[in-house]
Amino acid sequence: MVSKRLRTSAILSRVAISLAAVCCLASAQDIYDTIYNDIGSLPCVRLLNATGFVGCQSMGAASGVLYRADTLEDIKQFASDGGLGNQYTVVIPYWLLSSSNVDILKSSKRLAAILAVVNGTDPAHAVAARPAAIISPDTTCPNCEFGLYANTPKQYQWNPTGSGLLFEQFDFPIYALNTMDIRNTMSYASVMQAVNRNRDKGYRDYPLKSLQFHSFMWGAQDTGACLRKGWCTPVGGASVWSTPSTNISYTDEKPIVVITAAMDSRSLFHDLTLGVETSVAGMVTVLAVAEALSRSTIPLDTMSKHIVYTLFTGEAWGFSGSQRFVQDITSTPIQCEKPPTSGSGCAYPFYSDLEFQRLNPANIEAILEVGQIAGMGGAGGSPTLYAHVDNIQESASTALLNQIVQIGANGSTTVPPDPNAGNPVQAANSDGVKRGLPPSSSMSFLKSRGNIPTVVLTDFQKQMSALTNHDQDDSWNTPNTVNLIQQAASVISKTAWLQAQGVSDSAAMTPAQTEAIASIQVDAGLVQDLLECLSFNYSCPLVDRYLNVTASPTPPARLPHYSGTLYSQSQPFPIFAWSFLANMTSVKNTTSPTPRVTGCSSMPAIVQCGPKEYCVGDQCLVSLTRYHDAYGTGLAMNSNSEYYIKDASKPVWTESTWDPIGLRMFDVTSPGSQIAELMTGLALTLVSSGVVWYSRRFLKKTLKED
Amino acid sequence: MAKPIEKMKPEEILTASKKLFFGGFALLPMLWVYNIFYVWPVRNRADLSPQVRHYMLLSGILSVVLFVVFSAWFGIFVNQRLNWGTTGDTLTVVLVKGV
Repeated sequence: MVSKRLRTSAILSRVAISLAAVCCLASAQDIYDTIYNDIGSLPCVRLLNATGFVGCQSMGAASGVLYRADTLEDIKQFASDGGLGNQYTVVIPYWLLSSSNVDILKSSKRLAAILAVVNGTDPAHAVAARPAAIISPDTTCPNCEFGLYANTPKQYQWNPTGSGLLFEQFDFPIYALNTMDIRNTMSYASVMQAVNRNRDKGYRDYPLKSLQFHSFMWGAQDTGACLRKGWCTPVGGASVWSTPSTNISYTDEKPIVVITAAMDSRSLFHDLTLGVETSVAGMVTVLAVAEALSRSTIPLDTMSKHIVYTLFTGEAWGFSGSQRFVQDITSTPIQCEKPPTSGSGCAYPFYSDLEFQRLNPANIEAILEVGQIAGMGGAGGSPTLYAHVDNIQESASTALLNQIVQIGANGSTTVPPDPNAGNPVQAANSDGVKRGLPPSSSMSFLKSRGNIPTVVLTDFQKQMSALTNHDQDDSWNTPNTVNLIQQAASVISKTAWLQAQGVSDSAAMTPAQTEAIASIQVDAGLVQDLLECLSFNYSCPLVDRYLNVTASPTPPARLPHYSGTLYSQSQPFPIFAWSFLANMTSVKNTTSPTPRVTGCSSMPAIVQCGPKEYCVGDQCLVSLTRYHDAYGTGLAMNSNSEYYIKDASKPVWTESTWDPIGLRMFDVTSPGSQIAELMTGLALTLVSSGVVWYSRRFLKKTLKED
Repeated sequence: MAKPIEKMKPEEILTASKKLFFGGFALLPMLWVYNIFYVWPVRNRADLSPQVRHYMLLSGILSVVLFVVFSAWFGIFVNQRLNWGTTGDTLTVVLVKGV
């Protein structure tokens, strides 16, 4: 009987405890929701290299009352206003984010964090408010320390106005606000509502709206130290290479024409990295070239030279992608000590794929690279394309350069060139100044063998775009950019075709060749679609045809062009480039007479591709298109799958691991009332202790008397 | 319950002090510090063996020397461990994130 009652009471108490727990948990969440409002975050994070680190970090949770500064005067006013007595989160337009302005803000000793508005609906943050003179946040010569002229005493500075903001260290959080999608627009709106209310209250009439930031980066010192502790991951991703010559081999002694561009870019806020000028336009050009060449009536795989397309990732990080590609193809044959348990490649030393061994670097006979080409450079952009060549072994590239300039002059685009603009393609050294190559992937090839004829096509002659690796490269003149890309793609495809045919003089062509080269036309509609899809709308019909992205519950729109960290993030742009190139270079486009089998993706149970075929956009096709690991050549992976620094003189960029990142808004009371609250709490504690002590004594006495 | 040192015989104090002194060499340097505090109240007792004071003095010297050595090592370790690379990491029990 007793035991039964005991058991009942035990069960009852357990129920009571769990009920209490549930109610308290629910109320804890309620209380959290009443106090805090979580805001979507676009952080600046910490990156590390061989000698140190760059980017943003805060050791603890920083929080500050929202303060609005729209102009330099506002920033100075904030710094000099002695009446402000708190820590502040200053909301500034992105273009005011410079090291000198940060110094002014820091001098106030009241700076907790910065919110930089890249684009907003408020007139102070709108595109129209952006200053005419934009300054690139990169260095005065981006990545030149890893380039071809790294050891040249006085390198030409391609980005002379570069502020170097990307290489600064900030010991407080910096986040961006950008009205690029619904979620971020809501964040922007709630921050602006709060900061405007604070401003209306003169930042003195509490309660005021405050923001708390979590931005704790684990990695410190440099890449070597943080890799050893496992607190960072190599920056990188996947490059893509593709060739219509499915029969290419290391020993075929057939020359190779390389057509190349970069796929990634960098900026202060990785979620906003767009890089239309830095890389997207170049990538679009190479894809358009592949499409144009696939129309050649003379099959590409029957030509006297191979055409190889390469699109490199990690180029913004010391040309990591191209340097690794060149390093790997020059190490053929690879000694694979441990084959993978499944699939292709090698487990140790790690390679995700080994087909690159079919490319013989000694056979590379020409490199055609597309650099910055969106025409977003200066005032309205320049309508001319400039062909750059190396100035050390200049003679090697002279013939190729002349050919490109000549093809440009023949008006090969469907859009007639502006008669006032002169030749749409000019030799960059036509003004008599030999600047050499601008920072480019070609440098990685030339570093291993300097006499490869190489031309880098860009929209600038002397100075890179001010939007190089900028966060504000989100508006451009579409017809102008499409025209430039089309022009570049046309010149490159025709040059590559003539090179591959081994024709140096177009007058000496056979009728079949004349007909074939006329068939190579760059599709302006495709260029425009690619440009839009790869910059703002990854769910566009073109990408959807290949990857069925709209089947996703949340179809992606604008995706960041930051390469991400190695093997840990999805690689949307390499995946699309792979699919597109596989389709364009597939043998079905050239010699094979049978139609493609379709339905491999829509009806996988019925249609299955052959053993050597890939399912690309619902079609089975044979193609030599491969991914290539892209990360700093200074890094290597040991047999335990851990990265270490193999050569600190080569790129070793890593990204720090971090605690969950985020920011939340809450009301903060005045410092005076905070002290009053604390005092009240203390007084209550003391009084209640006194009451307890007194009652115990009283009760003891009373009970004793009984 | 142990006897208070004031009530101990001189030879008992000597044994205790001796044990504490030699015990310190067994990687227990705190015994030297304890030795001084333990014997301190009876240090001036007339019947005390002179050897006790001898052990106390030696314990004191060793304590001070070790204190200096440990402090110096601590200072060097805290300031230099990040510069020692792998060795520094190996010597650190809890690696501090973010620095």
